[in-house]
Amino acid sequence: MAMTLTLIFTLGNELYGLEIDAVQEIIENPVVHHVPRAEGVVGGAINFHGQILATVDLPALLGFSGAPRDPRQVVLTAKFKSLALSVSGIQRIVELDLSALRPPPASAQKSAIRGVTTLDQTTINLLDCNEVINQLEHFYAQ
Amino acid sequence: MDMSQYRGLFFSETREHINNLNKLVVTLEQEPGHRETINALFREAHSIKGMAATMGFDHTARLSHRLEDMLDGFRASGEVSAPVFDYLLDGIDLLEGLLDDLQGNQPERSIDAFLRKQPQPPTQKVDDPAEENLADNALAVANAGAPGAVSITIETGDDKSAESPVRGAAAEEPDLFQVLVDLLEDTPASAARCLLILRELAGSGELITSKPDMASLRQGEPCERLQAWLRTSLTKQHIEEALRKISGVANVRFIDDRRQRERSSSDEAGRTVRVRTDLLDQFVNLTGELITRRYMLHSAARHQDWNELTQSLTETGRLIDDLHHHVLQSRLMPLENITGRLPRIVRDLSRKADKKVTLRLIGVDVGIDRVVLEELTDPLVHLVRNAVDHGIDKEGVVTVTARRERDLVLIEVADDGRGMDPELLRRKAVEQGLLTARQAEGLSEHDALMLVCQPGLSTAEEVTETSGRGVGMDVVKAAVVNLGGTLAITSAPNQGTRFQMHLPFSIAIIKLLMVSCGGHHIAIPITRVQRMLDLPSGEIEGSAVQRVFRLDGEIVSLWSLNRALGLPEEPAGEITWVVLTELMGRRIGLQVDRFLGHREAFVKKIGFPLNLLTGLSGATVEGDGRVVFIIDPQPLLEERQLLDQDWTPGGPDALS
Amino acid sequence: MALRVMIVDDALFMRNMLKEIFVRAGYNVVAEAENGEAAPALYLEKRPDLVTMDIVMPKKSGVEALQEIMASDPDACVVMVSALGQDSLVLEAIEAGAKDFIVKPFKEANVIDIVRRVTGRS
Repeated sequence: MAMTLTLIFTLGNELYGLEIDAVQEIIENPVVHHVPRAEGVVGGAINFHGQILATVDLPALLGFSGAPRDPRQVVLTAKFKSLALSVSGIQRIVELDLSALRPPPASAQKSAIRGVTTLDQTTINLLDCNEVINQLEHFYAQ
Repeated sequence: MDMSQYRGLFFSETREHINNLNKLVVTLEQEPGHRETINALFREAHSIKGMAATMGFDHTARLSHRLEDMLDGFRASGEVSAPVFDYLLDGIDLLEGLLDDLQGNQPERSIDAFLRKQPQPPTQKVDDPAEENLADNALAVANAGAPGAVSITIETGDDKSAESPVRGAAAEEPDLFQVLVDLLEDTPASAARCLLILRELAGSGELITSKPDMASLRQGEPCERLQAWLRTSLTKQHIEEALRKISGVANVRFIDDRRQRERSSSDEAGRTVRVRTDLLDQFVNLTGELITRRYMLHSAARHQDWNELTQSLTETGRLIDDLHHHVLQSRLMPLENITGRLPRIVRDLSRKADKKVTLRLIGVDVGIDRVVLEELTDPLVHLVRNAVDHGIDKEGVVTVTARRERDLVLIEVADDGRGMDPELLRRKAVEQGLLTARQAEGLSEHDALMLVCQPGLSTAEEVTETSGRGVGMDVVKAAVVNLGGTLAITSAPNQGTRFQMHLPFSIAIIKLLMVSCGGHHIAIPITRVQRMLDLPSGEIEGSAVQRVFRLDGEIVSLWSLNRALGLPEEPAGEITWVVLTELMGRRIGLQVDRFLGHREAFVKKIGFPLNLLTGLSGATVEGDGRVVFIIDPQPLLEERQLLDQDWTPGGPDALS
Repeated sequence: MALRVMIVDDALFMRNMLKEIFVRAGYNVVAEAENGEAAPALYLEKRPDLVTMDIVMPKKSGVEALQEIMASDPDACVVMVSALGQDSLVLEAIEAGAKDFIVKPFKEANVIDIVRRVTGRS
């Protein structure tokens, strides 16, 4: 059984997973700069080693209202446009078997879930980074 | 005559010739009978010989003379047999070694061994057995001299440096070089370790001296880096291998080696630009002055001499401005680089359309930043193509003009053709639902002409045929705007059309106007700012929906930049701060909370999805680490215009 | 033919450890001595290809034993084994003709690398 190192985080009350391979860095308490016209789903910008990156408010983008925000941010790899993700809470890194994902529940319309698995009887939604990018594109294409 | 002033030129040119020699030999190897290549090789060697003899570099001159003779022989015979290539390449390597020596202010290494191995230049035909004999000799020589050497590929600098410096036929000539050995951190008994290393070196040649020397090592002086000068006929590779086997050795380097590696990596970078030497001299002078200034600043600070400090700071600022100016200058390339292909394009197009079109290029030697130039290539071709296709009827002239206009460069594409009809464009825009009838009426002539840059209109065949330019004009405009420039069109029926692009010379570092809006710093490119105004708030007229003010007898609309950026608005005090900009040829005032001043800044690109946000063109980082976004008012205003159906660019006077 | 090694060390622990390393590398440990006094005679008797010599030993130090061996056989291949902080003794040994030195605590691979280098065998 091939195990994949996976970062577990929360959006609202739901548990999400993100393969470590998609993560470039987890940064503590970055200074978030104001972005004019960013409107909600982009919470600001950070200066990440000289690159100006958008910090994406993932709970807001995916419709989790009123959720708290972890002071840390997850910077994705360049493959996922080096987005910095703000999430409700960053929990830990675990090994997951991602070879047998179940499809996400059909109800989740706006969700960005690549599949579902379980860890200690809890459901973990695997974040679909490409879908996050799609939704951002869609959001700003108007 | 003092030849030393020509040394630099000699080295750079000879290295170029050596590069060419290498390339040509490899080319020739693919096609050994190619007479032109042989001739070219001969000329390269001949050039080196001439220069080296003039400089009085005896070995270099003799060696290149020998190569020249040899190549002359091949010119006569018409072909080079395979085994000679190795020998030639060895000779070229040896030439390079000689240059290294000369540049390192060392005596030229011996070339006798190489010359001995090539007793007679070939003069016979290829089928002559003597020639084959010679070739065999050369092969044997090359193989004996350098086991495993001489597989030259021009690109792979690493291979070359691994084999240098004493490969090829010259391998058994003792050669002096400097070895640097770094020990691992905390190597125990480092002095003893260094003694062992020196012993190893002494066993592979003549150890001339070292730092630290044997005596101090014997005293137990700890040492983490050993420097040694060695004369040896072994290859560097060989010595490095032996040294690396010694426990505690972290790194082995050869001074020559490093220089070669640097040279080849800069070759790989590829994108070179020729910089005028007087410009380089300016760099040196300015840097020198800056260094002097630094000492003056130090001294002034030490003595707390405020006058001197202020004066020195001013002077330093001036020097930095100068340096910046000259650095930007060094990036400029003449527009000719991209206009060069235009004559061919115009010729092909006019032949195809059976027109008689003359292309005139004026002022194309103007320098433009290479980045701008690259981005400009397609738009310029578009404009010229459109001029031939749609502007000129049967016969006419297309003129491309370039000239500097203060901080900008103007590039103009004009034709003397049938011109465009603003009225027709207005009508088409309304027919296609791009504008309401009232909006179309309100458009100035210039704005109406700019409608050709609307993507929707561009595909309309009829417009294109009878009055328009449509094809790709939206692309042209986007490219110009992206570069921080503006596009303007002037035209009238039967009086030709003129497209004017105003572009910044350089886009890497730009001048910004910093303003404050809703508590945030915002940067606006100075190329977008016509004027900065501080208007008495009482002079602002109009309704809450549309405010205006009078300027030079004209009525100008006033917009809130805060509102456009989604920022809270501060109540205006007695003074209203306004940035005067323009949209489609019309002046517009942008109200801001405060002016913070001008700044020169390096523009950073912004990542996804920030790059999708309308009006954000980049970011810059301020001294305190604050990230400030650079906004381009133009797209913001255009967006506003589209959203705000009641708004027309003419302002309230157009409504009445 | 397998490399013939002689180990000189007063600590049985070190002798056994080196012996294990050498045996695993396929070398033949032909002699062992537990002090510097016995070493030179044993060397002449066995004529090993390599000697590992502890520096600090009772009766006669490793450096003295080394000097005697070198006097009797200038081509002798002796590698000193020292502890940290014995730099001056190591220097003395190198001056006296030791081919290299190993510093305790050592790693197996390191020992073998040094042996290979000084004996020129792989």
